[in-house]
Amino acid sequence: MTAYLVAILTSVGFYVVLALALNLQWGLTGMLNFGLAGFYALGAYASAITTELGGMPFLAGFAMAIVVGTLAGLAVAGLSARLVGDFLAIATLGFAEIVRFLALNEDWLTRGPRGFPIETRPIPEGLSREASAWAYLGLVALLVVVAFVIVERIRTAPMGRVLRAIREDELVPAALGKDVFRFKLKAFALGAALAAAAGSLYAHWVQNISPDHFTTALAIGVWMSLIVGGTGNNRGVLVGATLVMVILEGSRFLTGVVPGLDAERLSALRIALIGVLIIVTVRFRPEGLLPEPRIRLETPAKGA
Amino acid sequence: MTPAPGPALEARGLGKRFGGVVAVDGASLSVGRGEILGLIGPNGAGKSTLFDLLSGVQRADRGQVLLFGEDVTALPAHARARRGLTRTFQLARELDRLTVIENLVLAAPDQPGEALWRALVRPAAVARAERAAIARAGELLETVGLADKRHEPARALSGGQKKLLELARCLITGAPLILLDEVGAGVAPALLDHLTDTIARIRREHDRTLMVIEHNMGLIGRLCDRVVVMAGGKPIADGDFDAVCADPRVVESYLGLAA
Repeated sequence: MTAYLVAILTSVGFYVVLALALNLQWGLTGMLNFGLAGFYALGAYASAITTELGGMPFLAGFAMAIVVGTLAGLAVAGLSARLVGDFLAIATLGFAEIVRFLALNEDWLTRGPRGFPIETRPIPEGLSREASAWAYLGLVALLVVVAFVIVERIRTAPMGRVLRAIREDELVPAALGKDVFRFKLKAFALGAALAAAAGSLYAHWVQNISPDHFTTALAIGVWMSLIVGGTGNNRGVLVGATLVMVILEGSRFLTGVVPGLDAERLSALRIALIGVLIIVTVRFRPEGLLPEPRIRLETPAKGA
Repeated sequence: MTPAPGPALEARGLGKRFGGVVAVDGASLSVGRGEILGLIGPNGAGKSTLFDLLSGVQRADRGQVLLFGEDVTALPAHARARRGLTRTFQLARELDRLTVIENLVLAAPDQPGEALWRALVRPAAVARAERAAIARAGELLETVGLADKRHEPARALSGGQKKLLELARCLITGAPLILLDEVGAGVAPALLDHLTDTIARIRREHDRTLMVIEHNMGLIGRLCDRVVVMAGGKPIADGDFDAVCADPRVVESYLGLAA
């Protein structure tokens, strides 16, 4: 049971990092990214290729994932950030599909649909099964903390104010002298880098990745985390991601408890539960469980 | 801004068409330093499009824009704002979910905390600049009379208050040249006088050059040193308020319609 909980918490961790990345891009800046899974996959494969084919240590793979993720983010945003809302959404969705099809078809590099086995591990050799599970959880927790601090610091800094202004109406910051395009590039690329970093750690945790780990369904789960938890609120995103994951995973235990529920029905029920959660949220609490916090700017006392 | 001779802003033969519609048709005009220039004309005369071309929100098909003598025709809006031209919009564009004071502090120029690494590392300069911007924004809220709305989200303001907020937002940028698009539209009569006084005071105390689009002739008459009348995408008359109002072409194309 403990082993199971540790595994669940670890996968919640990946979700949270992805949700924080999306919160930076969409929650703060208002850039639709339906291709989050693409950046996650890119990080996973970049890392796996570096360590397995390149024979480099985990940290090199992790760094490579961040570099590739940043560059891909810059490219996607640079080519499409001038596009408004829906068009950016389509461009990012297209990007994720391109990544998935490349991973599927470029066997020589990605091992294709059979899956890419990954031997390199970020933790010391010779740990017991249980100890290494805990070590992975520790690493994911570390990544969550780093991602949280980054996105939260941006949110509360003058940079975050510009990003939120862009989200509200990008013509206004432009008329006030802010280079909207550059801000969007930075926010998008940093979000992409975070997603890729999560992808790298994920790859070395599951130790076998294939394109069907990085479907749009995964990205939709992350979107749900934002909607339920509270778009624009990093704590809310944490709560939302945990809640969505608990429902996805926890509903597993309903078989045997609820009569007539088999595995197939269960997977359908799981999606239905998430759907209900979204509808209830949007109907009764459209800002999510934790709404975007209001920032109070007080004039400092004289002489302070 | 170092005082230099020549106009603050100059348009030379600006043109813009949307499909088959010619919105601005070879418009030329200039705004002198320290002047308040009124821009009036019937709906569809091309006033707001001209503002878009001057401020860089839209690219002109032809013609040139000179800002303090520099050709800025190829520059986007944010680069023109940095060079001293900012604006408001016909329909108030307040940033809904930002508080009133955040709307202002946002517009403070050269905030070090807008750079990514400084946002993360937060050197002392970030907090210092932020404190200065907040203090300045607080003063401007007093100036325009929105101090008690400080922490309200901007969407909670009335139409007139939103116009005042936009005005204050332009002031904090420090831009010497401000374009105000339909500054009195949707403003309650009681607030209109306050708005007009505020604009007049801004020119006096803050030494700004203003260009104002407005349909309220009382406001234009009280405020403007000079008035340009547009019709059919180009200026048809240019002079002081009384002379322009007496111009038969103006009466025919604009004022006559209103009577």
